[in-house]
Amino acid sequence: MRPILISTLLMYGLWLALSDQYTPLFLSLGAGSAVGVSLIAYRMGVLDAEGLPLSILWRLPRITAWLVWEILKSNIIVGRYILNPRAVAPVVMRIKATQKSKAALVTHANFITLTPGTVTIAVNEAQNEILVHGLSRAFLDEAMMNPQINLLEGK
Amino acid sequence: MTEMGSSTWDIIRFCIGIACLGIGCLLTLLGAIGMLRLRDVYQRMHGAGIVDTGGAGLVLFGLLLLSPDWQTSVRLIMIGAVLVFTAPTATHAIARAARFAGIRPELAHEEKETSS
Repeated sequence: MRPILISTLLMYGLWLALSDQYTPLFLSLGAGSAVGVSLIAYRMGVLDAEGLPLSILWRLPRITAWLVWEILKSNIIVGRYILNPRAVAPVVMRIKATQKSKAALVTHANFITLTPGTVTIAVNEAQNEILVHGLSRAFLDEAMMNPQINLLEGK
Repeated sequence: MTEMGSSTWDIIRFCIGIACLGIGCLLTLLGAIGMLRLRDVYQRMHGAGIVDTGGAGLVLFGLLLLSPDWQTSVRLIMIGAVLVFTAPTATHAIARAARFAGIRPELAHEEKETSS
Protein backbone atom coordinates (compact mmCIF):
# COMPACT_ATOMS: atom_id res chain seq x y z
CA MET A 1 0.00 0.00 0.00
CA ARG A 2 2.78 2.42 0.92
CA PRO A 3 4.55 2.26 -2.47
CA ILE A 4 1.23 2.98 -4.23
CA LEU A 5 0.65 6.01 -2.04
CA ILE A 6 4.17 7.40 -2.53
CA SER A 7 4.08 6.74 -6.26
CA THR A 8 0.67 8.46 -6.51
CA LEU A 9 1.96 11.51 -4.65
CA LEU A 10 5.07 11.70 -6.87
CA MET A 11 2.99 11.30 -10.03
CA TYR A 12 0.50 13.94 -8.92
CA GLY A 13 3.32 16.31 -8.01
CA LEU A 14 4.76 15.84 -11.49
CA TRP A 15 1.34 16.38 -13.02
CA LEU A 16 0.80 19.56 -11.00
CA ALA A 17 4.21 20.87 -12.02
CA LEU A 18 3.71 20.23 -15.71
CA SER A 19 0.03 21.08 -16.09
CA ASP A 20 -0.89 24.73 -16.31
CA GLN A 21 -4.60 23.94 -15.92
CA TYR A 22 -5.81 24.31 -12.36
CA THR A 23 -9.60 24.01 -12.70
CA PRO A 24 -11.46 21.40 -10.58
CA LEU A 25 -12.09 19.25 -13.65
CA PHE A 26 -8.40 19.09 -14.62
CA LEU A 27 -7.24 18.67 -11.02
CA SER A 28 -9.51 15.65 -10.59
CA LEU A 29 -8.52 14.17 -13.96
CA GLY A 30 -4.88 14.51 -12.93
CA ALA A 31 -5.53 12.85 -9.58
CA GLY A 32 -7.39 10.05 -11.33
CA SER A 33 -4.51 9.44 -13.76
CA ALA A 34 -1.95 9.47 -10.93
CA VAL A 35 -3.89 6.83 -8.99
CA GLY A 36 -4.53 4.80 -12.14
CA VAL A 37 -0.89 4.76 -13.22
CA SER A 38 0.25 3.79 -9.71
CA LEU A 39 -2.27 0.94 -9.54
CA ILE A 40 -1.22 -0.37 -12.96
CA ALA A 41 2.47 -0.11 -11.99
CA TYR A 42 1.72 -1.99 -8.76
CA ARG A 43 -0.10 -4.74 -10.66
CA MET A 44 2.88 -4.99 -13.02
CA GLY A 45 5.06 -5.52 -9.97
CA VAL A 46 7.46 -2.70 -10.79
CA LEU A 47 6.91 -0.66 -7.63
CA ASP A 48 9.64 -2.51 -5.70
CA ALA A 49 13.06 -1.49 -4.43
CA GLU A 50 14.32 -1.49 -8.02
CA GLY A 51 11.46 0.36 -9.72
CA LEU A 52 11.04 2.94 -6.97
CA PRO A 53 14.37 3.03 -5.04
CA LEU A 54 13.14 5.64 -2.57
CA SER A 55 15.92 5.13 -0.02
CA ILE A 56 18.41 6.09 -2.75
CA LEU A 57 16.32 8.79 -4.40
CA TRP A 58 15.79 10.86 -1.27
CA ARG A 59 19.50 10.74 -0.41
CA LEU A 60 20.51 11.77 -3.96
CA PRO A 61 20.54 15.55 -3.22
CA ARG A 62 23.29 14.99 -0.62
CA ILE A 63 25.87 14.08 -3.24
CA THR A 64 24.58 16.27 -6.07
CA ALA A 65 27.03 19.10 -5.37
CA TRP A 66 29.94 16.66 -5.30
CA LEU A 67 28.77 15.03 -8.56
CA VAL A 68 28.35 18.36 -10.38
CA TRP A 69 31.85 19.40 -9.27
CA GLU A 70 33.35 16.08 -10.45
CA ILE A 71 31.60 16.42 -13.81
CA LEU A 72 32.81 19.99 -14.35
CA LYS A 73 36.37 19.05 -13.37
CA SER A 74 36.55 16.09 -15.71
CA ASN A 75 34.91 18.05 -18.53
CA ILE A 76 37.91 20.36 -18.46
CA ILE A 77 40.41 17.48 -18.27
CA VAL A 78 38.79 15.56 -21.15
CA GLY A 79 38.64 18.80 -23.13
CA ARG A 80 42.41 19.17 -22.74
CA TYR A 81 42.91 15.58 -23.94
CA ILE A 82 40.76 16.28 -27.00
CA LEU A 83 42.87 19.29 -27.90
CA ASN A 84 45.98 17.15 -27.43
CA PRO A 85 44.99 13.60 -28.50
CA ARG A 86 48.57 12.35 -28.36
CA ALA A 87 48.42 12.40 -24.56
CA VAL A 88 45.54 9.89 -24.58
CA ALA A 89 46.63 6.63 -22.93
CA PRO A 90 43.48 4.52 -22.62
CA VAL A 91 43.13 2.03 -19.78
CA VAL A 92 40.56 -0.61 -18.91
CA MET A 93 40.23 -1.35 -15.23
CA ARG A 94 38.11 -3.36 -12.86
CA ILE A 95 36.69 -1.46 -9.94
CA LYS A 96 35.47 -3.18 -6.81
CA ALA A 97 32.09 -1.83 -5.78
CA THR A 98 31.09 -2.01 -2.14
CA GLN A 99 27.37 -1.42 -2.64
CA LYS A 100 24.83 -3.88 -1.25
CA SER A 101 21.73 -3.08 -3.31
CA LYS A 102 21.36 -3.41 -7.06
CA ALA A 103 19.96 0.11 -7.37
CA ALA A 104 23.06 1.58 -5.70
CA LEU A 105 25.37 -0.53 -7.87
CA VAL A 106 23.60 0.71 -11.01
CA THR A 107 23.84 4.28 -9.70
CA HIS A 108 27.58 3.76 -9.18
CA ALA A 109 27.97 2.47 -12.76
CA ASN A 110 25.87 5.33 -14.14
CA PHE A 111 27.81 7.99 -12.23
CA ILE A 112 31.09 6.58 -13.57
CA THR A 113 29.73 6.95 -17.11
CA LEU A 114 28.31 10.37 -16.28
CA THR A 115 31.73 11.81 -15.46
CA PRO A 116 33.52 12.32 -18.77
CA GLY A 117 36.75 10.37 -19.15
CA THR A 118 35.36 7.16 -17.71
CA VAL A 119 32.72 4.87 -19.20
CA THR A 120 31.24 1.73 -17.67
CA ILE A 121 31.60 -1.14 -20.12
CA ALA A 122 30.16 -3.91 -17.98
CA VAL A 123 28.90 -4.59 -14.49
CA ASN A 124 29.59 -7.94 -12.90
CA GLU A 125 26.81 -8.28 -10.39
CA ALA A 126 28.02 -11.54 -8.88
CA GLN A 127 31.46 -10.18 -8.00
CA ASN A 128 30.37 -6.57 -7.48
CA GLU A 129 32.85 -5.41 -10.10
CA ILE A 130 32.55 -2.64 -12.64
CA LEU A 131 34.62 -2.76 -15.82
CA VAL A 132 35.60 0.78 -16.70
CA HIS A 133 37.23 2.29 -19.78
CA GLY A 134 39.21 5.42 -18.98
CA LEU A 135 40.77 7.94 -21.31
CA SER A 136 43.96 7.79 -19.28
CA ARG A 137 45.30 6.71 -15.91
CA ALA A 138 44.51 10.17 -14.57
CA PHE A 139 40.84 9.20 -14.53
CA LEU A 140 41.43 6.19 -12.31
CA ASP A 141 40.84 8.17 -9.12
CA GLU A 142 37.68 9.67 -10.49
CA ALA A 143 36.09 6.25 -10.83
CA MET A 144 36.65 5.58 -7.13
CA MET A 145 33.21 6.64 -6.03
CA ASN A 146 32.56 4.06 -3.34
CA PRO A 147 32.54 6.46 -0.36
CA GLN A 148 30.06 8.81 -2.00
CA ILE A 149 27.81 6.10 -3.45
CA ASN A 150 27.75 4.35 -0.08
CA LEU A 151 26.27 7.54 1.37
CA LEU A 152 23.25 6.76 -0.81
CA GLU A 153 22.84 3.46 0.99
CA GLY A 154 22.99 5.27 4.31
CA LYS A 155 26.41 4.06 5.39
CA MET B 1 11.79 39.87 -16.73
CA THR B 2 8.33 39.27 -15.35
CA GLU B 3 8.11 42.53 -13.43
CA MET B 4 8.27 45.93 -14.97
CA GLY B 5 11.76 47.35 -15.29
CA SER B 6 14.78 45.21 -14.54
CA SER B 7 16.20 44.66 -11.08
CA THR B 8 19.85 44.00 -10.34
CA TRP B 9 19.07 40.28 -10.03
CA ASP B 10 17.65 40.24 -13.57
CA ILE B 11 20.84 41.79 -14.94
CA ILE B 12 23.03 39.37 -12.97
CA ARG B 13 21.12 36.28 -14.03
CA PHE B 14 21.02 37.46 -17.63
CA CYS B 15 24.83 37.84 -17.70
CA ILE B 16 25.50 34.51 -15.94
CA GLY B 17 22.88 32.80 -18.11
CA ILE B 18 24.46 34.03 -21.33
CA ALA B 19 27.91 33.02 -20.05
CA CYS B 20 26.65 29.50 -19.26
CA LEU B 21 25.06 29.22 -22.71
CA GLY B 22 28.33 30.32 -24.32
CA ILE B 23 30.50 27.92 -22.32
CA GLY B 24 27.98 25.13 -22.94
CA CYS B 25 28.14 25.73 -26.68
CA LEU B 26 31.95 25.72 -26.60
CA LEU B 27 31.97 22.43 -24.65
CA THR B 28 29.56 20.91 -27.18
CA LEU B 29 31.87 22.02 -29.98
CA LEU B 30 34.82 20.53 -28.08
CA GLY B 31 32.92 17.24 -27.71
CA ALA B 32 32.21 17.21 -31.43
CA ILE B 33 35.90 17.80 -32.17
CA GLY B 34 36.67 14.92 -29.82
CA MET B 35 34.36 12.63 -31.77
CA LEU B 36 36.47 13.35 -34.84
CA ARG B 37 39.94 13.37 -33.32
CA LEU B 38 39.90 10.49 -30.86
CA ARG B 39 40.95 7.11 -32.17
CA ASP B 40 38.50 4.31 -31.32
CA VAL B 41 34.86 3.91 -30.39
CA TYR B 42 35.56 3.81 -26.64
CA GLN B 43 37.61 7.00 -26.70
CA ARG B 44 35.03 8.77 -28.81
CA MET B 45 32.40 8.04 -26.17
CA HIS B 46 34.35 10.27 -23.79
CA GLY B 47 34.05 13.08 -26.32
CA ALA B 48 30.29 12.45 -26.50
CA GLY B 49 30.29 12.48 -22.70
CA ILE B 50 31.33 16.13 -22.69
CA VAL B 51 28.36 16.98 -24.92
CA ASP B 52 25.98 15.04 -22.65
CA THR B 53 27.19 16.53 -19.37
CA GLY B 54 29.01 19.84 -19.63
CA GLY B 55 27.46 20.90 -22.92
CA ALA B 56 23.82 20.04 -22.27
CA GLY B 57 24.14 20.78 -18.54
CA LEU B 58 25.48 24.29 -18.92
CA VAL B 59 23.06 25.15 -21.75
CA LEU B 60 20.13 23.96 -19.60
CA PHE B 61 21.47 25.83 -16.55
CA GLY B 62 21.86 28.97 -18.64
CA LEU B 63 18.31 28.64 -19.94
CA LEU B 64 17.12 28.06 -16.38
CA LEU B 65 18.61 31.38 -15.33
CA LEU B 66 16.98 33.07 -18.32
CA SER B 67 13.60 31.38 -17.94
CA PRO B 68 10.73 33.88 -17.61
CA ASP B 69 8.41 31.88 -15.32
CA TRP B 70 8.44 28.90 -12.98
CA GLN B 71 6.61 26.61 -15.43
CA THR B 72 9.49 26.93 -17.88
CA SER B 73 11.98 26.35 -15.05
CA VAL B 74 10.21 23.15 -13.99
CA ARG B 75 10.32 21.82 -17.53
CA LEU B 76 14.01 22.65 -17.89
CA ILE B 77 14.79 20.87 -14.60
CA MET B 78 12.79 17.85 -15.82
CA ILE B 79 14.78 17.78 -19.07
CA GLY B 80 17.98 17.89 -17.03
CA ALA B 81 16.81 15.06 -14.76
CA VAL B 82 15.85 12.88 -17.74
CA LEU B 83 19.25 13.56 -19.35
CA VAL B 84 21.12 12.61 -16.17
CA PHE B 85 19.43 9.20 -16.19
CA THR B 86 19.34 8.47 -19.93
CA ALA B 87 22.70 9.81 -21.17
CA PRO B 88 24.89 7.34 -19.20
CA THR B 89 22.49 4.50 -20.00
CA ALA B 90 22.76 5.20 -23.73
CA THR B 91 26.55 5.57 -23.51
CA HIS B 92 26.76 2.30 -21.59
CA ALA B 93 24.58 0.58 -24.22
CA ILE B 94 27.03 1.64 -26.94
CA ALA B 95 30.04 0.49 -24.90
CA ARG B 96 28.38 -2.85 -24.20
CA ALA B 97 27.41 -3.31 -27.85
CA ALA B 98 30.97 -2.51 -28.94
CA ARG B 99 32.33 -5.05 -26.45
CA PHE B 100 29.90 -7.76 -27.61
CA ALA B 101 30.77 -6.97 -31.23
CA GLY B 102 34.34 -7.88 -30.28
CA ILE B 103 35.90 -4.45 -30.65
CA ARG B 104 39.01 -4.36 -28.47
CA PRO B 105 39.85 -1.01 -26.95
CA GLU B 106 43.25 0.35 -27.84
CA LEU B 107 45.19 0.21 -24.57
CA ALA B 108 48.24 1.96 -23.26
CA HIS B 109 48.75 -0.56 -20.45
CA GLU B 110 47.58 -4.09 -19.86
CA GLU B 111 44.32 -4.62 -18.03
CA LYS B 112 44.79 -3.89 -14.38
CA GLU B 113 43.11 -5.09 -11.21
CA THR B 114 42.22 -2.21 -8.97
CA SER B 115 40.15 -1.88 -5.89
CA SER B 116 39.24 1.05 -3.76
